[in-house]
Amino acid sequence: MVVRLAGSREVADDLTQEVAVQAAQAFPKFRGQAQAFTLFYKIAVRCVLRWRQQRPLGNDTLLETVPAPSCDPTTALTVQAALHALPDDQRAVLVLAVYEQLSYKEIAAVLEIPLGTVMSRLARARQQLRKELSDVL
Amino acid sequence: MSCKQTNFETLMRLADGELRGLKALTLRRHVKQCPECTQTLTELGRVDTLLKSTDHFPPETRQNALPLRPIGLVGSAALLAGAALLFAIPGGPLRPTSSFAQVEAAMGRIHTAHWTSSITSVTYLNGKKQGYHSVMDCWVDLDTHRLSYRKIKSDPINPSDGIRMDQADFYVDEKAQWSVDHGSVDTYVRMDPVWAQSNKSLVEYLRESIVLPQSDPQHVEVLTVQGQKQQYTFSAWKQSDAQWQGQRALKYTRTVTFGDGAQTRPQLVTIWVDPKTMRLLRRDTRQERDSNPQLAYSYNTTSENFRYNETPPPGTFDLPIPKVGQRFSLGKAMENPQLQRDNDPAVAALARQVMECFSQRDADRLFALWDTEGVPEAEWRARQDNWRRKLASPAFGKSLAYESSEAYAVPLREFVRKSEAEPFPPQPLPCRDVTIKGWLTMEKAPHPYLVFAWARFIQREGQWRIQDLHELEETSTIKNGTIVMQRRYKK
Repeated sequence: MVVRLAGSREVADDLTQEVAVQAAQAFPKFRGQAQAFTLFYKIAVRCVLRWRQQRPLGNDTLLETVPAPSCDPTTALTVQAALHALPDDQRAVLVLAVYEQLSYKEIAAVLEIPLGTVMSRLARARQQLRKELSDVL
Repeated sequence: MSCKQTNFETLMRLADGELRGLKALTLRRHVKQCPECTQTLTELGRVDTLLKSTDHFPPETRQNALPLRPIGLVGSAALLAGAALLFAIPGGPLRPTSSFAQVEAAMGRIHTAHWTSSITSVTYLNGKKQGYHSVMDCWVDLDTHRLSYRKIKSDPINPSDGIRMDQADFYVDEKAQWSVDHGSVDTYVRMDPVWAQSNKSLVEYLRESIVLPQSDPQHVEVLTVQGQKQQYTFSAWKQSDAQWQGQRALKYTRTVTFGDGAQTRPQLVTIWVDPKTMRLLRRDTRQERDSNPQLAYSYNTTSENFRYNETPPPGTFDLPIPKVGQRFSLGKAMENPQLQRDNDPAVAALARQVMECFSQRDADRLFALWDTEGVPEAEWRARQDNWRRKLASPAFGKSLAYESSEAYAVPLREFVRKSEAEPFPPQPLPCRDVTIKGWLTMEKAPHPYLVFAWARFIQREGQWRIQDLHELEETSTIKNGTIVMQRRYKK
């Protein structure tokens, strides 16, 4: 998830380390009011978004980090470019829904946003992707 | 997407398994019949598949992905391992599928539903109790989409008041696409039967009503009631065990709050469901009001007992057609923006003539622009007197502007059935007519003071005429360059 949100594997490695440290520090304060995984996700998303705000992702980074999937590399590049062209808030919701398979309620808890906002961001993200990827769909 | 039944976000919720219960059931049914929604859903699936297929990581479930993947990435297992032990990662499916497939199957076995509806409406006015008690016999045939509501009893609570239920028999034949509403005053034939409170077909609404409420969580719906959007907040159902006619039953209760809740108290809905068939056995509703200072207290209760797959008596679903010589309203609200665009110039030209009549105080010319077909003589004379009086008044100023609002393919019109041989509903339907609704803005003394006229223009055989013209009660004044809306109630 961190790789997908950050858009760079190397950066993700560093960020994940930071996530792990923060998670370990947060555990003693965890009161069990929410499910544990929301805490992990919350910390991870916060770390990545903070990093993204400080250093927006450039095209060079994206090219460097495009994975080598089994499908056509051009398609993969197009998809990754479309994904990373999304605003951070929309991409975070999309990654949690599509890749992490979290429910809307869980996403709302992780991102600390209302359920309606989850749905509207996800809908906007998917509509944008549908438009951007119309050639490869 | 242009489908009027749903939107992209709702389809997305369905695809993600986030839409449950009755809504999911209804939408799945709709999607089966709607090519556009089917395509949108397919594309949604393709986008997700494409995202996953071009991803570096294979799709994982949360159970195997969550605690270990970040640790594996950076080798910081030591930091997390101990902590992870403290927490149980929730098990079970991430997107629990509701049991509505089972419900849908059960619904498929219901062909007819029959229920009696006992309605009590009570108002305490100045300490005096008044109202009525009515009983309706109701049938719905889910296979043929026909419905009948027949009033079998309606008695005033206080015989000296004589207050009875205004609603009389009501029939719907959805496949024939018309319904008959026999009010106590008039007969109204709708050519597009839609349940006013939900924008759904009435039969579809009833079909949902008799599906069990399980998994139907608290939710808010914005429904259109008499053209006005209104928010309904449905609480989650509370379930308990109960007895119904000596048998075990499931009892559910919920409240439904209308609007912001300031005007009415929440409606309390209680239903009893057969635990074996999950069919609705009985439904009670109670609605109380006490906000109106003139009505100290009022309440409406409804009790309905349902039975299924009974054979309806012959003629149950026969729609009663108006008798020869009887007046009836024919409605088919087919809003059509294209009609509005196509006809706007012609209607604007007519509106300009109307405004000239206002400015020149030319009542006779105004009446010559009127369409009088189907308008009774007495009513037409009353309209003429009314507008002559308005135009003669020095307070009635010049007209300022016209703006169209909506266009309909077939207007609400009154007909008289002329002979037994005349087919009913009229064939062909009078679709050649178009109506456009619009607003006229007028200046009124003392200046500056604006009034609006609501106008309905009709085109019959290429000729545009006024069908209706009403000075509106809602008015505006201009204060310091700002229009201030006011409501003025005029007799």
